[in-house]
Amino acid sequence: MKDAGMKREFLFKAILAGAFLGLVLWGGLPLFRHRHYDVPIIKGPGVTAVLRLSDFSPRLKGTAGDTYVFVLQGKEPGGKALIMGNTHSNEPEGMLTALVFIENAVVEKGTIYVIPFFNNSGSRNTRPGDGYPLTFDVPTDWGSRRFRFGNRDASPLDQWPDPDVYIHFPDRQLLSFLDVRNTNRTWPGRPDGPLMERVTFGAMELMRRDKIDVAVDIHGAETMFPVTNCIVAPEKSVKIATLASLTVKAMEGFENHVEPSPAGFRGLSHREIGDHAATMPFLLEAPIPFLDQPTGPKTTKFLLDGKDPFLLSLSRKKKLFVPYDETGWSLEKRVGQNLSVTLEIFRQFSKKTADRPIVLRGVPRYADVVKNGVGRYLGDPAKAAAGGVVMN
Amino acid sequence: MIMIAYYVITAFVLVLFGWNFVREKKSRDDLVLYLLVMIPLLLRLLRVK
Repeated sequence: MKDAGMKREFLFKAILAGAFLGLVLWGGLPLFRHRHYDVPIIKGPGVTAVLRLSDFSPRLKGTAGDTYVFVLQGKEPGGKALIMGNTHSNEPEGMLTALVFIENAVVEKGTIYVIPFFNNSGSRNTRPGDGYPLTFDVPTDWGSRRFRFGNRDASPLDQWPDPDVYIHFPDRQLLSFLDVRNTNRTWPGRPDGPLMERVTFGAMELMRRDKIDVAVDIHGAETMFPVTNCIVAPEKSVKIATLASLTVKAMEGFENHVEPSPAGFRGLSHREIGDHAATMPFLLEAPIPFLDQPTGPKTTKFLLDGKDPFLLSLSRKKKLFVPYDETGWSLEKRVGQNLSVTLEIFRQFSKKTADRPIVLRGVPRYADVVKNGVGRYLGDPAKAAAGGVVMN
Repeated sequence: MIMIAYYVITAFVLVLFGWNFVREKKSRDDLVLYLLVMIPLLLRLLRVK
């Protein structure tokens, strides 16, 4: 009698534990696969070397903070530029802009460095409370390319624990605890700091050692956030930013105003890069409706087309900081304007600094991307030459 | 170092809940609650979330 009772109890507990283990697998496996999914990047015709950020910040080696740096060196000497995407990994237009450069650009004068997954750990993290998709597909002429959709901050699996308050280095400004995992608050970083400070330190060292002239950090921002659809520039970059803004408006017909970088708000790329290196920093913000709070479901379709009925209603009530209609803010518009503004910054820099020109070809501009789609400029990794694909 | 200590603590608490789950005889509600509380600890120990 006692044995039968024990057997029944054991069976019940085993079924219950099995059911919960099933739940753990059901919820956990997609997250595990997302974290370990590597994005193939085709080395385009202009790529001359592939480095690691740990080459500049040795204590990144072997960590999830380490990431690839693609070098596109021209035949003739000239100026040097750095492009960074995925500083915030839930703003994928930066990463896609970087990929279009890597897979299409041919540099004729100067050198361009591209880091497509600047916060590599963040791109392997997600924000389940907001119902984010884990991946998204960009349609191409030959099929589609799949990318990880990450989070704003690095994964706590890679950097933990968070402090109560993040004390910025070296200014000691008190920032939110979460900003210790935000690679746009940890500039200029330090070689032995928390992981994200080591990431930004690596980029600072790259800029200082290789004498980078121009750094472009590409982001996306909510349509309800005032600092959106703009180029953020400190005093030393503001002339070039203004000329780039005016030129794209006159020649290509889209708005991208200039916002001054506040001197009192520390840790941001557009402030710290200029203060700690000879480089001129620019931060690009394209409107990404997906990041706004009062929207419908956060679907992959919404991420790509940027169309939402709630934002449309808010736009009619003049609550948004950008024009918004039934056409939304598509990925094509966002990537296209990032490409055009970046190219225009290079052109204006080359005009201003004639002895250090940055001249390149092969990169589409706003109208091309809006007409043809982003996928037109992304290759098929299966058809790439042997050794021509980097898994990032 | 703190990270390692965190994982050791997580494993220790997980074992405690597991042991309580095995020892629990009366309340089925408590059995379910033990398992529920173990989920985030297990996910962190497996480095999933």
